[in-house]
Amino acid sequence: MKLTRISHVFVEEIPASIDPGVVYVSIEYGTAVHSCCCGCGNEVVTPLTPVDWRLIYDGETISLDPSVGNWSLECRSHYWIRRGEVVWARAWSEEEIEENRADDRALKARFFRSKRGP
Amino acid sequence: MSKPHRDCDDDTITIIINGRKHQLSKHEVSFAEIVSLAFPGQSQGGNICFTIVFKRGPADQPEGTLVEGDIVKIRDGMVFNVTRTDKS
Ligand SMILES: [Zn+2]
Repeated sequence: MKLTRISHVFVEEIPASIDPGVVYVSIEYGTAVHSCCCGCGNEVVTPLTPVDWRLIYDGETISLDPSVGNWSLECRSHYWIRRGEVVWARAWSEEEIEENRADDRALKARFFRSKRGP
Repeated sequence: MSKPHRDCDDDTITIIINGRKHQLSKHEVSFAEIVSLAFPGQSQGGNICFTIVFKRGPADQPEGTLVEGDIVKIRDGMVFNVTRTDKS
């Protein structure tokens, strides 16, 4: 069943087994984990780093930016988490996915190279 | 070169993968090992794309990203974030 809302909980460690419909957020370890919003049961990990996702907490709800694209899962679900709502988004073509992955690899390589300095 | 910091029980190193602690009794791990600790039972071929970033690593490489085939030295408290999800 496709979720339309998702809650959150702040934890230090991510529990071994997680409930659907909840984003588990660990500021300490810089990650957020939830069970795929399509209901397939796969665990979805959205690392919180300058080159991965940003988490926005408004005091009541959370948002994740950018969107969550589960192209590596069988369900291939794609959605936004915005202010506790799951906003379903369109499927991407193979071409778009490949291009996006290449961009991501380049972004990460560049980011860590620049942090190391000359 | 500084010696890696160790726990009381001599040779275990605790690393954190996706917010969960794992005890290892070695000083290096590979990309594939981290993926299988993060997603047990997940096959690693085909169209599945994993990305790994790490922080709080040893002094000579405290943070960075790993790609398939990489091996990295670990230290106690090192944090890995592994995902098979694309940001879009
Ligand atoms: Zn799913």
